[in-house]
Amino acid sequence: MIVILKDRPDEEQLAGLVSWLKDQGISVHPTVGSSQTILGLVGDTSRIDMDLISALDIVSSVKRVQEPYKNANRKFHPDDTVIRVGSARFGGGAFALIAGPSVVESEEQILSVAEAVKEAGADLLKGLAFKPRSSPYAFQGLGIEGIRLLLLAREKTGLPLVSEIHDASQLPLFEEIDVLMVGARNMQNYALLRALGKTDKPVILKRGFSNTYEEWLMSAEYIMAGGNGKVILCERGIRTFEPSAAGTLDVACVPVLKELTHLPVIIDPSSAAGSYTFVGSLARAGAAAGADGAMLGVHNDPMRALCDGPVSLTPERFRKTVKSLRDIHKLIMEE
Amino acid sequence: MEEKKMVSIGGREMCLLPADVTFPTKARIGCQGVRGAYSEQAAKRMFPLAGRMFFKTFGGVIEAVKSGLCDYGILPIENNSFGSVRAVYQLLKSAGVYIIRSERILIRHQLLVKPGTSFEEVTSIRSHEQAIGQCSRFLKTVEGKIPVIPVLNTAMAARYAAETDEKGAAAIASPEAAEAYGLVTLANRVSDSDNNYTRFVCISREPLIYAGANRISMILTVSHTPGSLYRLLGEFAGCEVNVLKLESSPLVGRDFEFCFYIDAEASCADPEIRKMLERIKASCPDFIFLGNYSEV
Repeated sequence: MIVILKDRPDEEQLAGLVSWLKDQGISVHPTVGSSQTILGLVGDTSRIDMDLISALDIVSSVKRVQEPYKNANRKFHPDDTVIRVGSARFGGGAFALIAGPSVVESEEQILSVAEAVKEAGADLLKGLAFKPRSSPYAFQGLGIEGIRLLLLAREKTGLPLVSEIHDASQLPLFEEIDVLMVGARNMQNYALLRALGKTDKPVILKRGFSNTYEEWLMSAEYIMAGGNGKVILCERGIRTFEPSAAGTLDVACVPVLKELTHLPVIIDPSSAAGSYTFVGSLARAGAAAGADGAMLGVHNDPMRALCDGPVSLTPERFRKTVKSLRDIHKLIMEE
Repeated sequence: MEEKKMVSIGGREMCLLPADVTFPTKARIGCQGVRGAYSEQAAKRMFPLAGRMFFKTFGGVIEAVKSGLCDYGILPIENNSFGSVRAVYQLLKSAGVYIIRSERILIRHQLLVKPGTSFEEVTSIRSHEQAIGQCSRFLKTVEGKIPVIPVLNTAMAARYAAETDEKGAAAIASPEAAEAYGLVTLANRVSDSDNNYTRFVCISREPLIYAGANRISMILTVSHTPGSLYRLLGEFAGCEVNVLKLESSPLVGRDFEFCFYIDAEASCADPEIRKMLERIKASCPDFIFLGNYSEV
């Protein structure tokens, strides 16, 4: 339920209303927007008499929110959420670029990629230390050593770090990582989401292979309900009947989600591209649809990459893609 | 020390409070209107220290009290020239709240303007329709020269006068409204009568009767037989109870059938009075006990 208040509501009366709502077991989330103040009510609102609240002089109107997600809902929070990481910004009209190898393989690899992507204009460096593979025999990542190498790369380049976390028990290892990523397979790992809800770090929430927008937003809701509002949604392709790539990029989710939610939406086109030759086009499609950023796989030597080589861009191809993405984003913003 | 006592009155379980339980001073009070309204004045006088919440409608005030959003509500019940506020009686009939106190507020209408505006510069006067009626003699002196515009209530008229760009916009409202909106009084006492009072009641969801209560309010219907009203009034006379108010009101949706709003001077602490009320209830097709309270 949302309560839209009249301009400059009387403090004392507002406090009276909020305290009564809390006594009823409803948590109240005020949002002071540019044109109005909204109270988002979360809890069992079926017992609340909407007419009673509407009768209050400080209240302009009361509406029920049909969707099961509240905190993530744009009705609760009409303005875009802007998440700042270092000098990078997700949301509010910016375009954030995350780049890096699929997995951290060695000091030489991560440092050379980090320097290259920084030079080409990336805002954040990504690299996985713990890599979930479909096969138990495939390279699973360097683990703690991978984290250490990422920290070294940040020291040398100043780029904030993005890395994937799989379990709440790993949180101490990720102390120094700037942005935590939840992989597609963990989108409904509610124990992990709840634990991330208690942290203060931005979380990139990848969409599950076969999950609906509502399920995706409810996963975001899990994190936000824990108190962490810094959620970035990342579309990486969904499972359809087409087997030629590891997913079909659902570009439509960008404009649709930006209407349903106030959270930033970014694209990771690698898996859906299937080949590095298509990564640029898909990234541009995302930018053209209004995405708040992109995450691109970059490797200094894709032929010898331990993971996702075929879809990785070389630093040079990355540089060209960055330019086209920034140009398109600028065009979109002008509209 | 006396104990509080539960008694049954007119079908309602009421709690007679001992003399040492005083009327509360701190609470959340609901009233209708906006800052500067006469209801706010009534609320301030009865509860000087309490927080106030404003509602757009009388129904909102009652719902707020029933739900606990407010501890008490202040509602206007009658005016000595205009009569009963029927809308409030209608709501009280089925509300399930109790009158625990009432008070009389002297309505002092004043002509309010923005600071620095003279009488010659007044270009319009706004007020509530009732207030306009109560200032008819004064307004006749400006008839044809200054338009008089009715609005929802006097406080809103004051708010408009304060916030509009129209320099000469004036309002007929209370001195409290002047203070709330930063207006000055151009003309004091523009009412026809100096004796303009409105009674306000304080409602609660708790069935309480404070010590010293001397006024009983009820709403009832009498049976459609000759002498039924005579016999009803005979009950009051028989117990030597002074009837303070007896007003008939048409029943909505029925063909010229009426209910009565009755106020009587009596205390429910007296068992004879309680027996009288039981007899009255038994003889009336509908009987609603609104409360036993004192008036300040």
